[in-house]
Amino acid sequence: MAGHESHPPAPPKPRATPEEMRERKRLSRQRVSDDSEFITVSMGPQHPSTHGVYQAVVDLDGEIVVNARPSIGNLHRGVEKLAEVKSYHRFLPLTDRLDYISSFAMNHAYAEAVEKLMDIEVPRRARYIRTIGDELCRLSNHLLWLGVHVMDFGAQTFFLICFRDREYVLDLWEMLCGARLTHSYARIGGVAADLPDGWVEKCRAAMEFMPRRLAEYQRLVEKNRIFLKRTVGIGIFTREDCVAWRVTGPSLRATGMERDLRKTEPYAAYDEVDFDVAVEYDADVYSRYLVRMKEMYESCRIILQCLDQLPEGDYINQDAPSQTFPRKKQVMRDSAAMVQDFMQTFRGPKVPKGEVYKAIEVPKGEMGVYIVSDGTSIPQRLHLVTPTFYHCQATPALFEGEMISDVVGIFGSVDIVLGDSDR
Amino acid sequence: MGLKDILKSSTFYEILQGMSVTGSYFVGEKVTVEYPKEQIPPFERFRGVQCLISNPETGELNCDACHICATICPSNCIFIESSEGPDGAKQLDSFVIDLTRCIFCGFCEEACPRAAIAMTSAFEFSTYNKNDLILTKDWLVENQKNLHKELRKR
Amino acid sequence: MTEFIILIIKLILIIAVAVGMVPFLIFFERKFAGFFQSRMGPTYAGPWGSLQSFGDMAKLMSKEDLVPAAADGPVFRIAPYILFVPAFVSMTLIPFGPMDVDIFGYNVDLVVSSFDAGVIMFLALGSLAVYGPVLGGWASNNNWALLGALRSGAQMVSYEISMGLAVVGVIVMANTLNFVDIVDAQAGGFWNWFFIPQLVGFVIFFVASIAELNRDPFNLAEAEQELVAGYMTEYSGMRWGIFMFGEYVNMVVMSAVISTIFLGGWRAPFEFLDVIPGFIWLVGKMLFFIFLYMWIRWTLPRYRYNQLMDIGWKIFLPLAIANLAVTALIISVV
Repeated sequence: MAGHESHPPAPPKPRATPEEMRERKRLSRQRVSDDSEFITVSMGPQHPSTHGVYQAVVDLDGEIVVNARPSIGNLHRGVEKLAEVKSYHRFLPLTDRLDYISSFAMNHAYAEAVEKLMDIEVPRRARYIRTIGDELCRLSNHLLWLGVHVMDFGAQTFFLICFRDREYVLDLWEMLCGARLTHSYARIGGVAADLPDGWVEKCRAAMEFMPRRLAEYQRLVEKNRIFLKRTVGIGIFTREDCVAWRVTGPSLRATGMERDLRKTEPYAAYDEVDFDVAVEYDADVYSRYLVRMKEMYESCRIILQCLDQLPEGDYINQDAPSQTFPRKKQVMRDSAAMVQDFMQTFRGPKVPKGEVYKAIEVPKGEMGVYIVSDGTSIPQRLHLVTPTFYHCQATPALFEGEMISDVVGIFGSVDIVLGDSDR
Repeated sequence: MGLKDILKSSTFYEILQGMSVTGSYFVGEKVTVEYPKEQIPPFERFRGVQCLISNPETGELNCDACHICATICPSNCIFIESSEGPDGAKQLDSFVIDLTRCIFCGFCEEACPRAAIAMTSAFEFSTYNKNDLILTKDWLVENQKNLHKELRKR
Repeated sequence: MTEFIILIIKLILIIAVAVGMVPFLIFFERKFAGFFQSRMGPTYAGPWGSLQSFGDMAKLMSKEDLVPAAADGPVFRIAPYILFVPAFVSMTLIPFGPMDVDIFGYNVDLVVSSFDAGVIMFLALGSLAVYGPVLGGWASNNNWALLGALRSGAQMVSYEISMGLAVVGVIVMANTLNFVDIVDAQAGGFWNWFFIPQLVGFVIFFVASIAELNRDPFNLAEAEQELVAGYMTEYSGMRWGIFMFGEYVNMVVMSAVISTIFLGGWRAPFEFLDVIPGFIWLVGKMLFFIFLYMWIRWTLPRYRYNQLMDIGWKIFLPLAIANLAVTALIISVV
């Protein structure tokens, strides 16, 4: 891959230890209350760049940010509370609306957690289809992130071009499940429907075409001196910072730490495909860009491998009639399947008591689902551990000490979507 | 900084490279679809507004009033009233979908045991009057004309 | 008497051309923005959407004329025009064709005023135009507008210096400050045009002019600044329209000046193409530069403010001085 050569791991020195940061914050708060020589600006809930309804109240000393206080919750819809009144099947479309750019990944996380709780197995074909879906979501997410990120720096063309290429992925999704954005494609025990005729060829054509487009983006942006000046050495967020603030995903991998749940705790079909984990060592905005570019190439590679290795079989688990929905064909003909349909709808699935936590690697980081079940078909407590929530939490550490014009770039590189953080 | 780097940076090499990419878009094909003059028909599995399916010859609805769709709906947007008909079987009195609540997830279509409800390709639904978004049984039966996919595919 | 009438006619033509070009320039900007982004631009208003700017102007004129209560009234009202007017004055200096041309029996110079200190006048008017944004931002009584205005003013002033020094190289070669004579010094084919011996000066002038015009990649004052909305914050409706107009007229003038100084003005690239009248060549070259400005705007991201000032002072100024020194050396030796 052309571009920035990764040099040997030379971890940059941390900006400040957590104690130093706390002390700095305490001092700056004191100064503000004493003689308020700092200007307070609200990077208000409406952003010029599409980050969502996020507010950061920032204290400025001239150009430097002294203090930053995030304010989230403007998109809170009470998803976790709603989970306490809906059965496991009915809750699935609500997970779509978390990180709405990569909906299927959210569905997948939830389905994996529930399957772990119910201890049912997903057929091999369904696992491959879920992997393909995950990687398509990763591609779509990173394309959107790239467009918005470069647009934050002023090149508006890039935004529209990335959206043009995202259309290929969205068209594939529409062919597959009927919706472009809110997929609701995963089901407990598998996926909603099998791949339609001709989808594999279309997907293969799109994935073979995508690396050429990605190379074009690199030519437009990667060595561009203006882009380099705006991103290299800006927003350094070291490994210690990331671990302290629970920042995961590409931002963590840009600091040199090779943590990718697809490799360390493989789920779906990730242990059967061959791919590299994208790692960079400089921990600045440019490294995060490089990590995501590499991940896009890897996604295309994974999808092509999955399409080649796609096994025959069922797309949903047939051996758990008390926990999954039956296939529609059987419902029309078979009375046992009809009874299963009725039972799943009116009584809900049979779920053992217990609690479970399962995390997968969604495009933004690590997403975990924690379910406490009391033996009924409605969860007692469902908690979603979403990556963006923690990225927003890290706002003070990310912004402090940086120039105000860099703040938008840094924040864009951490990649947030408010549906994810506010649930 | 080797000679090549100095040469490249002073002649704005990578900027010209970037400009050549946008230049190629300038003369290349434009991807705009001039909606509403040109339309893109949705794909087969597109989840648009629902419709109730009736037998083409007899005009009788497939629906059995079993209430599965209303129960499985994640946002409780289907309201069904049924009563016992003359021969003891259930009969559908009223079937109302509240489109202001519907999230177009397709669960009703998937769970229906009689293939009586399906999602069509209709999506152009803006209206000035909110009452238009409460869909009644007759309207839904009408909407079958927008059905674009083969049933029982799955 | 006839002289006076001819002068008036020339003035009216210049103003009409400059003002008339702007709506179409704005339309082309949006259309080209679309093309560079693989989409069609405006297509709805008129054939190929060409009447789009007129629709926009009608919309702007129908908006409420809002002058903030705490703003400095007269200064607030006058500031857009300070940006707008010097450009027209610069236009009068540019020759659109040869001197002593016979039109309908009248002996006409195709330049409104063959001013012997033309280049200095142009640079002075450019400096005057800086007052527009600065006074507009200050009169708005808004912290952020003031900040944006000061930044924009500082940026324009810094790049003016490099621009001026880049032009001096041409002056040394042409031995005159008069635009008409500069064009005459480039007679012959395109190999006589000044952009070849003065390549460095040409590039410096072009890039500095992008900064002068507050366009990408130096447009921290114009586009959505990350936080601050720039000197145009408090302007709405037609007043904002005048600021925009002023910017585009400045673009027209700047491209005219570059074409005149470096690319031979109204002269054709080859002798035998002299049949085509001069002003068509000039307008063609102007459109080429305008296209270049748009292409660069829609491709490149923007510089951060301190990086912008760094480039202006630490890279362009030394380069311009070096260019001047080398030119002067070579001219004196040769």
